[in-house]
Amino acid sequence: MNSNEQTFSPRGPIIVFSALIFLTIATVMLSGLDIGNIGALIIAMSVASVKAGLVLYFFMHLNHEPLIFKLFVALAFVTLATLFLLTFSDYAFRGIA
Amino acid sequence: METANSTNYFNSHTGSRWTSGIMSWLTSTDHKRIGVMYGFTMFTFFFLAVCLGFLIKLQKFYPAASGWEIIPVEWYGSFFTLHSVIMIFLFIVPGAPAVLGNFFLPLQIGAKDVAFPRVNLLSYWLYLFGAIMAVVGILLGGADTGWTFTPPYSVTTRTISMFGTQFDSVSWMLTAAFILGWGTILTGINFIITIHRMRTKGMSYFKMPLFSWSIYAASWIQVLATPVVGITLLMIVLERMMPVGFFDPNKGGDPILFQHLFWIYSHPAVYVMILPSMGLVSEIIPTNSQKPIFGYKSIAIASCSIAGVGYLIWAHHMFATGMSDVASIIFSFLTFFVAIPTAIKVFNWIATLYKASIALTPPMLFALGFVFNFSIGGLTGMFLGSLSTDIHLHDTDFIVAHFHYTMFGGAAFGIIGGIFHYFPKMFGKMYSHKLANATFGFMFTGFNALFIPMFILGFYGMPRRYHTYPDIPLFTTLQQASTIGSWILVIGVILMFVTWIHGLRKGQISNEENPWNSSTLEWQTASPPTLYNFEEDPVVTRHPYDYDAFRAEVKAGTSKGARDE
Amino acid sequence: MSEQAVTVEAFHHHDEEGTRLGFWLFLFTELLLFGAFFIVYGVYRSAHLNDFKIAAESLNTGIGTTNTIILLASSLTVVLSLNAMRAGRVKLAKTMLLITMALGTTFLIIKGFEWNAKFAHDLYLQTSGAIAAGKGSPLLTPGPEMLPNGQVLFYGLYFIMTGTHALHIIIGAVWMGIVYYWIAKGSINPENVGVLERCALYWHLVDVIWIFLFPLYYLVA
Repeated sequence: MNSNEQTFSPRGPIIVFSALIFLTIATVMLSGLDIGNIGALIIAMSVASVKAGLVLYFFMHLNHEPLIFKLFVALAFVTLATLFLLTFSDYAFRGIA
Repeated sequence: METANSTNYFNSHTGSRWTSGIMSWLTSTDHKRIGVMYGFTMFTFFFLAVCLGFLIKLQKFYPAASGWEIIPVEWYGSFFTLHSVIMIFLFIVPGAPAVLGNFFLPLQIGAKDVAFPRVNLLSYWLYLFGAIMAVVGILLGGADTGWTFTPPYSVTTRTISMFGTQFDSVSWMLTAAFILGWGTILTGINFIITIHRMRTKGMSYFKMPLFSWSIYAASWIQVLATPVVGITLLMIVLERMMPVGFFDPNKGGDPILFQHLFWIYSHPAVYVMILPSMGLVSEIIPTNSQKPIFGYKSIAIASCSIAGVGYLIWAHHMFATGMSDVASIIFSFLTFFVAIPTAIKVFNWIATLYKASIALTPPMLFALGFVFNFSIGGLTGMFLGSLSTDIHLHDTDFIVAHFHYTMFGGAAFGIIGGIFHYFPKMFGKMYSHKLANATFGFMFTGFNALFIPMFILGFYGMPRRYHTYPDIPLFTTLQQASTIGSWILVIGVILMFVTWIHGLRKGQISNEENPWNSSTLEWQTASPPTLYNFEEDPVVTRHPYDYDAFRAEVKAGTSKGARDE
Repeated sequence: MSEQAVTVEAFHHHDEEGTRLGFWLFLFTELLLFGAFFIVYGVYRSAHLNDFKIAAESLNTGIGTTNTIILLASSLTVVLSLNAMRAGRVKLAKTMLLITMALGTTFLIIKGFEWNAKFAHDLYLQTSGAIAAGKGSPLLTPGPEMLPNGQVLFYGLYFIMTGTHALHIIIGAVWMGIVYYWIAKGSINPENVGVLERCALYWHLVDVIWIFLFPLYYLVA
């Protein structure tokens, strides 16, 4: 990124911010619905993932970074997801969950 | 140094305002100095832990009825805890990456230093601080939780210090482990970025020497697994101090969850211990065979896949805990997959030896010892990875023998072999080969005599962590054989130190760049290496283990080979 | 050592992209550190679903939403600060950084009130009732009535997770203060934004973690 070439424009970040606020309000509203435990969890986590994705991609400038940054981020999240999945291979079948 | 006008890392260094004395080492950001400091500190702790191990084995020399008591019963737990904490957290985890990785990773890829030299120094300071904290803590309070800190015992135990005061040495040790963890995380980050960003011209990923590849794989584990255990250990500290019950079944918690989180780190961590040693063996074997390593790419990829699969198999430490059967089956199944890349490596090393003119130098002896010991360690791991045999062998001496075969016979033999391999490069002096060969003889014999009986003892039901045993003839005989093995091993360890100290003080001064006639890049700089590693940035044009091209280069005078050839 | 010992300038090599990549790796360690918390939360939530729901209802969704919006706004201002600095508008960058710090502080103050309310309701002290007499910290007297195990776990996790998060906010805000000073001194300038950039990345990561904490504690009740 060549820093001096850029001109300052708040437009892009503000659009992303508006989307984030919209999603926040949406998720609060949706939490009022009576759709059962799993449904509520899925909706809340999906919205949170989209929000996190927006922050990572735009605010943290992953969109301007080379491929290697994106691969690293993917690796970190895949690792975390794997840990979750395998841990729950125990708890989902233990009879206490 | 003899050549006073050349600037090597002994007479000049970077990043510190002290020009000489110990402070010029402790504040230097030169990766070579940091590597040597790690080595010095680590082997000091190693010796302490060997002494503890010697006493633990001595305690087992006579059965219970004899009244033999070298270590008081109430101290036995603290002894093996300190032995394991030092060996794992202070010796073998930082081991090869911190000493030889720091010193040789930049040399192997033609860099001037690691990516973040000051962070590198911080890692060493964190290591030193955590190490002193752990050792002081256990001496003051005598934690006897084992290095795994498994609750509920680690939460409920209250230790009394030698001086009669209450000292919470368990919390203290947990905090020390947390600090040590940050040291290894920062080292891992440093190495990954160094490999990605600082390779010299022409050094593409598949032209990197295999030790660098293994360091790369191990570094990822350090970065992605260590934080999990760090926070888990702090949760134990919180649980000890505050009325929360994360791992207390009386308060709705689940002690098995701690084991999950602990082994999420600690299983991949065994690959942090073994991978760099495998990398060192992959350097030593082609050098002493004077031919290209068999299946270079498959070894490089195997390193990464060991690291990857290593993440998926942690709960095979927990088959006997009451985890769900489904999880046990999944984890047992996945465990067998890690044998594949491991076996590929062993196969490739053996295949490299085929029809080679093998030089049985001291590092080569250790490398071959590694392959032998590690094969035993790895294959007995398969016994333990199978569900039903594990239930029988769990928490017996069998498992103690298994992990000593991988961690000592494997990882430590690799590190020691690596130091014998790189000694002339690091210090510009050659140790006595006679002493070094004797070291190997004693260590290899003693090691096997010590741990083979423990396989049999464990198979017949001798539990681990026990202070003594009943007077059954089989047990007594095997225990005594094992203890005698430990004496031979200790002689080997002492000889190792004698060899090194003798080599440093009286060793034959050789500024020869490439005494083993090795084809990789780190041997092309001066011995000891100059300040910024290379006089000018090297350009890599060939495969690291292409011995035909290397011999041609030596003949043409563009590369430095062994002088007596 | 030899008498000719000399000290040479530390090896400096400026590689902004490499440093940034290294900083991302550091952020992953933070992510996995919280990841362990999330695993613990997930396991105990599935084991004590009803208790978690009851306990979660005692948390004020309004406060949680307000704090979420505050943090998101602070993420916006810090990204504007970075963009402004890159475009050479130093003064605007400084203002935006100040606003970010102010928003972070507001978040902490609100969080403090929220924690304080929980303490006042004796929720925390009641959890101490679960510990057997004589064990644990002498500062905490056993509460009159014990909450069900699941709720104790919920509050324990709530305090430790939001507490660790708040600690990160404090670290981020202090770091921003230092960055502000360096901008004022001129060592961070439009040609050299690396430190500001990493500080912003750190702040965003703390925000990302809150994005997940918020629904888990305030919404899925």
